[in-house]
Amino acid sequence: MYHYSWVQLMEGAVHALNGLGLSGDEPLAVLWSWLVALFLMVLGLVGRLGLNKARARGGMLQYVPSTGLSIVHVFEIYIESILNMATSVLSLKDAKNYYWLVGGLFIYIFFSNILAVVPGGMAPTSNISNNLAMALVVFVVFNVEGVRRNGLGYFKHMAGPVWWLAPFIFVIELIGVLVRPASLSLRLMGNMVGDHTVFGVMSELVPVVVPSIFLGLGIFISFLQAFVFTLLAAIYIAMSVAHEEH
Amino acid sequence: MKSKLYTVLPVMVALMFFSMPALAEEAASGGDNLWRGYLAIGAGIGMGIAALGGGIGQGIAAGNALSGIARNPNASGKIFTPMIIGLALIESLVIYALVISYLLVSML
Repeated sequence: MYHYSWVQLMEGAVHALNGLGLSGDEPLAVLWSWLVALFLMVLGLVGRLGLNKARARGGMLQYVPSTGLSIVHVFEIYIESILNMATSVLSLKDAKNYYWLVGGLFIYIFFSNILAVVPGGMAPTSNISNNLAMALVVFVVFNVEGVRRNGLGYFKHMAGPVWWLAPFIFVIELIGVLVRPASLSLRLMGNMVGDHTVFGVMSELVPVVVPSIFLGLGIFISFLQAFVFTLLAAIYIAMSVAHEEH
Repeated sequence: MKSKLYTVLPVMVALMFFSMPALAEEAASGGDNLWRGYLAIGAGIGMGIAALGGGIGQGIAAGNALSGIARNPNASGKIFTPMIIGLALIESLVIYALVISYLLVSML
């Protein structure tokens, strides 16, 4: 009986992804991102079970939080915090409309970044392709929503206040809009790669207790970068959609 | 002590003059790969200037936030969040320079 090992499975997966055209550290990033996706699916299942249990109580009782500590409380805290953050830039109706993007981005980026702090882990967000995929989704969403809500007025707003400066200002605004996905993905990648590199260099200098401070910094930076990415996505959507009051 | 200096110092200067031909030979043979030196200097100085600008910008942002909190300690929660957002956005410009510096060093 030929005994397979996890290492051979990983090598086989990396080889298959290399055959698909990925190179460098992209296969590893894809595999780690599958791990994050699997973890989020399990979390979603747990949340769904908790929601079913709450709904089974029926009537007004289903809105009452359960007593004792349960995982559903964590979900409630998380959802309320992200809704508060989204309503600080969007209206409540828009925040609920685009909650799928905002809430999903935050939890995916946060767990992807935290994987870099775990020993032996690699953050899938330290690869530019992963971040560019998320940033392009945000780009498509805020452009499509801007055109859908405001029609051609979306492009007219990019032309600036006066007509005789319009070509100049339109080009500047267009470049500013086109650079948004690049800035979003580069900011996230640079923070994760730089943080990991600093931790590696510091571990080479002082191998014992001191680099643990950088692990704490890594956790803080992971949370902050997830927050900034999500907040900027919400702000871009708010800026595209909110052109009615002129 | 002074007499000792008068014996040691001329010997050191003479040794320097004797080793100068070897140093001149080193400088002449490095002309082919001069672009690597320029690349390294560019990466280092570029990152340094970016860190300088980023440090000044974040210092101004944090200083204003701190003076706002000092004026009104009850509003510290509402000041803290926009301060963190501002710091992260300023830091992102420094991160762009870091990425360029990584690119330059990888081309060495």
